[in-house]
Amino acid sequence: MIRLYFKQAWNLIRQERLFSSVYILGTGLSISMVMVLSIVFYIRLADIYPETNRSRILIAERSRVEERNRPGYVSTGYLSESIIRTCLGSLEGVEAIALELNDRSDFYVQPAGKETQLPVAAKFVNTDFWKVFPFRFTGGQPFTEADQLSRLPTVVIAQSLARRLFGDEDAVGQYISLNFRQYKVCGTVQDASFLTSRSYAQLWIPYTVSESYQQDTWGDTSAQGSYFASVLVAPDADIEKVKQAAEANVQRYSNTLPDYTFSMMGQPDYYWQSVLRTWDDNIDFGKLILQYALVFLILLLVPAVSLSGMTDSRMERRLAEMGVRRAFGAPVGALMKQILSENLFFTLLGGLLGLLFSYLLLFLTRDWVMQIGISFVEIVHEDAEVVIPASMLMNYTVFGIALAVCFVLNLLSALIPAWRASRRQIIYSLNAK
Amino acid sequence: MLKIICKQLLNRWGSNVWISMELLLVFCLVWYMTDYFFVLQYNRSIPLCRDVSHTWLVDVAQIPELSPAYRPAESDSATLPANFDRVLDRIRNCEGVEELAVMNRGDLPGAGSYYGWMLKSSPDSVSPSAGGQRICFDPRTDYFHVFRITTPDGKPVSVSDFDFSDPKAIVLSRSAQNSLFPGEHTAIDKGLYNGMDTEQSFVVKGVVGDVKRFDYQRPQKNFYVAERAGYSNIDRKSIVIRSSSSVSDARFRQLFSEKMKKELRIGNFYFKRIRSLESLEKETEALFGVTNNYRVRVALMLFFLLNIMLCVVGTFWYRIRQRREEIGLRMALGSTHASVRRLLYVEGLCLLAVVVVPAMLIEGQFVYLGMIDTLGKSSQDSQVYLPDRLLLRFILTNVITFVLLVAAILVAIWLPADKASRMAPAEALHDE
Repeated sequence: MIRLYFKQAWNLIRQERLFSSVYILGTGLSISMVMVLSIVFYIRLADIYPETNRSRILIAERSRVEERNRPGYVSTGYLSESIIRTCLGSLEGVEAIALELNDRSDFYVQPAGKETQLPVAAKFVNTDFWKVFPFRFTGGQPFTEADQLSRLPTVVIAQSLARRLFGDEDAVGQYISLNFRQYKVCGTVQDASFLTSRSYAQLWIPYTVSESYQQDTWGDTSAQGSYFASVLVAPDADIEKVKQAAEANVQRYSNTLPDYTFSMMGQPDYYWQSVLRTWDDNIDFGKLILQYALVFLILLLVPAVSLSGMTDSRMERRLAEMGVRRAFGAPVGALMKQILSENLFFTLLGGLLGLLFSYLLLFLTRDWVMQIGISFVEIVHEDAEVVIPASMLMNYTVFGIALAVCFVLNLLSALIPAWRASRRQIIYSLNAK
Repeated sequence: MLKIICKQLLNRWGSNVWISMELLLVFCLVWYMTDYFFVLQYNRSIPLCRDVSHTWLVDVAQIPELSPAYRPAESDSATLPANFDRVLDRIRNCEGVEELAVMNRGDLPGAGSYYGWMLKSSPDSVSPSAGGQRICFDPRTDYFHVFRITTPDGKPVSVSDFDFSDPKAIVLSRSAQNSLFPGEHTAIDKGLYNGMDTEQSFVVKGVVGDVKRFDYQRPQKNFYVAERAGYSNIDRKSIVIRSSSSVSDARFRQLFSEKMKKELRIGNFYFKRIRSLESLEKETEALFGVTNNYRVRVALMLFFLLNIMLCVVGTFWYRIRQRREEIGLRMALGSTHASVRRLLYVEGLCLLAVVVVPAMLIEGQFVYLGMIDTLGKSSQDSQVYLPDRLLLRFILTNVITFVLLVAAILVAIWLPADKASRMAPAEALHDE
């Protein structure tokens, strides 16, 4: 039966080309906007190389210290290494803690024998970083615990940078000059995308090598510093319990401070929370989700009303047909099913167009679109290129979302016109020209 | 004609409900976006007593101590400042460089960092106070000239216009003067105190015009103070220059970079890069999410307008097909192509007119509930700007929204109206 309805819809398209084009275009436009947002959130939240453990990661990066005797005298910032070890290090069910030292210097590689300097993105991390973010090593290995302890200037570099600096030669074992300091390359990895910002860099260096390492803590407590932590929870552990235990540790630590209160502003966060988090002290994730839901709703509702108007107009023209079918005994449900199925055909065509258009939009706006809603945007490095791998765009999750959006939009745009058309008096419908 | 159209719209109300609902929805949403753009454009149009075009940040760094190329003797307390002066001289003498200034890195125009001060006109707790940005520069270089800072009435100023030989010297922006010395004719030679540490005092040596921290914001209060670059603070200093307007920015950047790569390798100093301050400001706007907010709103506005256009095209297309007989009859009775077209245009505009009042009522609720932000508004503002006059702003933004939707509807109706007007009366009447 559905096949017959689809066939009828195809004939309608052929008969009313302009109207059908407008309808499909409207549907495609709506679906493309929703899909752009959906893909952005998919890329920001799903388990994607090298952040394939996102669903098992807790993020801790904020600290807030307030004087007990002078409420309002507040200091906020990142965390110290010692507070991370104290509150998160001893938790049961934690597999590894990746540390990153927030060193915001500009980094330039001085290629051998050339006068030019190459701007690069570098991260100062610990050995556990490689466990939390399982990069694929194309040569060599990560720097070792011994390298880290003895502050050896070793470096893991991205394959694209290795190729740029050393051509076809093996980069492992060679030296590179970074801000005029020599680093020995111990490994090369498959590039990470700029879109996986927690792990993205072109060079990864032991955090103990950074010049900022010595001035780790600041402020009047030893809790504030320059570190972020990504905590990998064991697969068999309950992530919620680990989070609760961490929060309890933070509270216990705060209670030990006679003159200050300390908090991580509700952290550690689940990975999805860390993506939505702003600098607001009292962030309400429920409200944030509602806001995003409202945006999705508007993106669907505005075209849905417009498409409903068009569907309703189409139904006006087909009232006589509906009247004849009802006169021969077709129930209201069958007519509604017919209208919804026919409309679904239009919506699916629009959905396909919309999905393709959303890929084009994402490609054209790739430098910034992934950072929608982020309060402190990561600027694309002047020498870096934002690459969206095809695997991030074409996968079952994305196709599933597109299909679901089509169904929702179809219901929103055709349900009321279908209901109206199928419930008209038979005599009125038959009388319609 | 208007009466007939209204009658027809009422008679066909069932089929007009959707298009009216869509117009209502889109009107409110487009108004919300228009309001944001209105405030943004207003802020950008506020004149500045500063000019950052053709100004550049010259990034000069020092080789780290752990590098094999590092020479300790070049960084001792006597040699380091001397090397720094040599760096400044080389830059000054580079072709195309008009003026140079040394200033604190945290005070760069358009950069993300901000060093705030709270000053008071006397040490007691009840005296007038003002919060603003402190800008610190080396008085041997001309910060005011590099950024073409002017007096409130637009006259260019130079560092030499103020007596910075006094270690307590401070220059205020006009709004800072107005807040600190309300009702007084001049603040020159008056004393000021740091609100957080009243031991630190200043003497006002001059007043210049207000500047904005970012172009999308309103003018703010500024306090200009001097500090010489020396051994202990060179790490915190930045070099800014103004290039000649006769050389294109791209050309200047290329020539400067090529030359300075070799010439600025002095002692442990080396040349990193040169960046225009305009690009630095753009980067900071992007960093703070302003650019993305703007882009998202533009995309949404286009989306809403396209939707309303598609809705109008689709609905009117069907409407015309259903009203072939009526249109045929009109033409048979002497209506011209233009009058048929006009009939449809007026019909579309009537529908828009119907939704304006309900839309404004809904928007009014948004305003009443305080859900409309005023970009750049600060509790420190000493002046009332147009976006602060809510009623006027509400009317203006609604007028703009109306005009935008009129344009969208007219464009959308054009295709079906054109088809209707080309209809042959005999063919149309044949349907009957």
